[in-house]
Amino acid sequence: MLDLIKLIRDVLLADATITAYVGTRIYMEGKFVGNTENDYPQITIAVLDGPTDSLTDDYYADLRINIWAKGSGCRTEAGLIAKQILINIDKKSYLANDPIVYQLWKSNNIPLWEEDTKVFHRVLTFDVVMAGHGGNL
Amino acid sequence: MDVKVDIKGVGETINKIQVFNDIAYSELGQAMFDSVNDFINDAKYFAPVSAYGSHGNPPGYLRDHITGRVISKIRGVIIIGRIRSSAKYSIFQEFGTTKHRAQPFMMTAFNKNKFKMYGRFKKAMQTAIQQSSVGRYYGGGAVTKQGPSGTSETTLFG
Repeated sequence: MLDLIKLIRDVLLADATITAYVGTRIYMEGKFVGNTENDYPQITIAVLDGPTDSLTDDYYADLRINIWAKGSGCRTEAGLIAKQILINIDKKSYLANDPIVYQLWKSNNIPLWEEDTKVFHRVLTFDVVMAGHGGNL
Repeated sequence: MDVKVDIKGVGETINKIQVFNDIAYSELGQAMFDSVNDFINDAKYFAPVSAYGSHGNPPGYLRDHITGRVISKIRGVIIIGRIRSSAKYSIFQEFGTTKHRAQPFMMTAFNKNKFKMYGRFKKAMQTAIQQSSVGRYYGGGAVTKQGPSGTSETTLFG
């Protein structure tokens, strides 16, 4: 089965514009690394488990890509990264082994501001359907 | 030469559509109400509860401030179910911060209820089509209703 987080990470790392901003600071959610100026911007990726259609065996999930930026112009910087991410993976499908196809498309783009840490946080959420194969991502 | 075209049953059709509208509004409204209730119950179940409270609020503040309502707009043309978590830190629980990871409770509740909602709305529409005689054009059908004390009532159309 395809590792969706790894796949998305590889897609983002292959984009020179994104790596120019974040370097290799693309992590799984829960593995947030550092909180100093040098640790930003960074991206964390999470997959939220969803239901399986018992009839078609399609599996639904939510993909969340968090962009964290700090410092002057952090809002614009996070916005530019988000835009570049969407160029790469908005409305995409990936073929895994056998007839398993992942389809994903953007469902939300939420800007958040943390007043205490002065971190700008942008959340991109995607609907994911793994067609024809139920199970965990 | 005159050509006369008569269309019969226009008034009857309009009346049937009106009846269908009324029944569909009632059925879909009920389906939405049930869906919102299920969503709220699940969101409350998934909402994190701190034993000592958070942000100066008592324990369970986030969970206790999840509310919902059903709104009808443009005379029932649009029925909206709105679920709201009014604790100010809700969005940070849902999407996480630099200090703690996300604990999504709203989206989890939505995912859990998604198919149930689709099914409920589909059933409501089918009931509306069958109960109004619009269903006659689709070959008719039967509606069985569960009574209050375990009784059931079946109405046949077609």
